[in-house]
Amino acid sequence: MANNTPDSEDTTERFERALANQNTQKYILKLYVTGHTSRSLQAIASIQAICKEHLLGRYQLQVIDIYQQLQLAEGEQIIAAPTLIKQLPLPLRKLVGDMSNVEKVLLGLDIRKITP
Amino acid sequence: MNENKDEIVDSSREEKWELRLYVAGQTPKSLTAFANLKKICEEYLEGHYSIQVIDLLENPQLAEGDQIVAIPTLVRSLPEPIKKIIGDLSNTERTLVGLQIRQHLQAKG
Repeated sequence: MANNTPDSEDTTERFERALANQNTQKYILKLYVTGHTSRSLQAIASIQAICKEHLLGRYQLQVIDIYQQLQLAEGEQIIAAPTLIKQLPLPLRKLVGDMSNVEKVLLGLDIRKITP
Repeated sequence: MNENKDEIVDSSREEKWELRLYVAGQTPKSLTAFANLKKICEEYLEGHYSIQVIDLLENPQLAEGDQIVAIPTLVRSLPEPIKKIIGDLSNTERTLVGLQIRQHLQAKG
């Protein structure tokens, strides 16, 4: 099936497949917060709601309190909080804020809105 | 062959629309454009169309033929005359107008 000639027939098929996959791709999200401020709680609630509505069954959300976590994993640079990182699907995305603007979050996560 | 300059389509009902979507790689925007295009075609052109996606990252020379200056660009190569629309096609109404789909549907009666 894999054909290495980059003609437009393959490209169209590639796009068809990508589109089909988009609705089933698994999201790996990490939400970094600083303690239990109202801003943190707002972000957590907002992201949880977004995940349940748009990514049901295909997401993994990890909430990390950087006040409790003494050492961030290597390579994780958190400048502001809350910060949401989408590790998968690629590309990596970082969003900063209380996540209350759902539109912006959906755009930032490359999630296609569910159209009725 | 009829060289009619009007936008009125000839009366063939089985007229096939040929649409080419020029993209630069598989990105959320290009996928959105493709998804929107498919939706519009399925709803308004019911089987009388073909969509071709052309990735200019793979074949940059193909931009020349249809004179592509922005990405994504949708080109209607058939029916003539050629129409072009730039963008991700999220605005359905604007896309319908740009492709003159309504006019053609009306002409078909």
